[in-house]
Amino acid sequence: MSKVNVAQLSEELQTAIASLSSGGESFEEVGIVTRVGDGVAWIHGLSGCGFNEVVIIETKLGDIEAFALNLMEDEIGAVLLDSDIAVAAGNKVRLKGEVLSVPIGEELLGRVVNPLGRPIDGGPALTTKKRGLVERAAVGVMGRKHVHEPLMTGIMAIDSMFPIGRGQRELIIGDRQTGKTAIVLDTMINQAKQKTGVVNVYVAIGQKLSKVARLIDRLKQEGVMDQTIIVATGPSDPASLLYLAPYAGTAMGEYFRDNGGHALMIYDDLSKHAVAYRQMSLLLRRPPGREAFPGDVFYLHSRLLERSAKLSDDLGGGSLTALPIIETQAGDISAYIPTNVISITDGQIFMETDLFYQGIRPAISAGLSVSRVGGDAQTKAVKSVSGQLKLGLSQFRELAAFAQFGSDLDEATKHQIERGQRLTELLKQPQYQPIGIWEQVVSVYAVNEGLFDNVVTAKIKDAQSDLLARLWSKHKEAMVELNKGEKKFAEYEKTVKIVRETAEAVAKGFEA
Amino acid sequence: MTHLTRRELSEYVAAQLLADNTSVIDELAAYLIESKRTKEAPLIVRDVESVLANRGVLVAHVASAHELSSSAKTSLEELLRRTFHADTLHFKETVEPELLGGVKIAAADKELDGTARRTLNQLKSVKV
Repeated sequence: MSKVNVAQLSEELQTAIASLSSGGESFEEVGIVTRVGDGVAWIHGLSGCGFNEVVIIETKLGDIEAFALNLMEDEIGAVLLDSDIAVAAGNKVRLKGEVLSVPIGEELLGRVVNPLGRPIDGGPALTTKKRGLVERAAVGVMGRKHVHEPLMTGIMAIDSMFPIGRGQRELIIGDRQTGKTAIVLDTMINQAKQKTGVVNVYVAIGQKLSKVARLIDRLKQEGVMDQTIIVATGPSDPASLLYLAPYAGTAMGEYFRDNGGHALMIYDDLSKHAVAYRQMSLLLRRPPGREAFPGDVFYLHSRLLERSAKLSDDLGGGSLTALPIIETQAGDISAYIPTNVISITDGQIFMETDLFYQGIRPAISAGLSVSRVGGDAQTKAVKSVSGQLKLGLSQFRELAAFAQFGSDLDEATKHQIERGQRLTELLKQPQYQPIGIWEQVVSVYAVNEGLFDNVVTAKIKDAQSDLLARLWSKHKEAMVELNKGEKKFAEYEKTVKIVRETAEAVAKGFEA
Repeated sequence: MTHLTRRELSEYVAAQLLADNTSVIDELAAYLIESKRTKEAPLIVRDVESVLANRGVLVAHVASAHELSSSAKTSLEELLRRTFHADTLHFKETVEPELLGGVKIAAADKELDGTARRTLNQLKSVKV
């Protein structure tokens, strides 16, 4: 290399200094990594760093991002958004000057992304310029409206007994392998089947990637993927990504809510989310509380779920509905995280292991499940036929223990038990087969009105299929009208008559 | 022994240095040995520099690929005084050929990296 002319260099430097001092570049705050481990880096300096602000660590293998969660007098605790292998003590750290955000927009539909919004489905890079804040304040009181539009799950037991409205937060809680994910999957399928226009955002938090892959395949098979965004994290991802996943997914869902659309958030599951946050908090040396969770674990979920809302007409009337999932241990719903989330949400659907193994699927417990605000949102037609359904079923489950002493019971009790058995049988529903409003109304009406009282309990489902098939083939127009569900069922006088006559005819074919 | 935070230590040391009490260095060294915190020495020095900068005494580390001319130094001093509102300026200069060109200034807990090496690194990290 030729020797540099010192005079020329001096001139160059003068120019560089002039450009620097004119504001071309400015002094940046620089911190130093003092120690690192378990996905957490401790940083000296950066006194201007804000809470949740992204910092960039310069490592030998390139820049790694982290976000600051502990702002202490002498140091900052930052959680790494990538592997900590390359990060070493002494690495320089700079402020990125922004809090975490993810790409949002319709471009994400049909895509599988990680919590940082990076595609992990092998598809093309996202080109959307819109970004949404991962941590964002929930809509205020005046920006909200009461929940009044139904969000049909297509699952008869839910839509008739525990209706969910758009903007509601309904918890799905139960032990492992009780069909929690099956319920949300059917709900997603129903949105496509019924053409509701609701966008699904499925957030997998530390789920086995094979399970997520299976779910995606099913969604593609059912034609739902086009209106679905998947935010996926696996068990091998850093705890920071598991922690961010539901917030990132919510930011993506909020885009549709804020633009007058409707989105359905599914958090699968918040138990793993709490565990990831506990891991981060303990590594950040925050004091442990009950079950070693940090003191703000309630706020962790309350601030997340409060972002689900039905917006006022002034804000476009969009909605964000949340179906968080919580996994219990041995049916214990009084544990710390389950009670927290139960108290935050507007109701819960409790899945029972016993029911599941008795073949009652979906294994929804009528006694422990509740929907606190969905009643106003329930479709009129469904509401008019299912008023006493929950009570009847709960009473039946109470009385079921006496069923074995059949001969010693009075007629009224026997009748209640038989009706309960038929209802239980009716509410069984195969997976991936959500049904529409008219199918639900007609089925519940037939059993509740005693039209199927002579049908053998084991053949209730066959009788239901036959009834639905006959009605659809012969009275399609009336059923399409009923499917709107705008009026009480009794007000569809002609249809009621048709249903009664058809149900009576069907019942004869399935009598004992 | 009372545990003093780095901030407390650096505030004290800076105040003593400004009062021309140079024996504070020995005091600090003794304290760090006694409290088994000698590893924190570089961080405390950095903190002290930061406190001093806030009080008008700036210690600037300037690194360049080639030796700076006197006029370049004057310009740099002017820039630093203006940016940090410094009354007193201590200038530590090093030559680091691996910077390739330009200048890097580290003062208190701030840094301005205008070197060719950084520009090249930034270009390298941008995916085309």
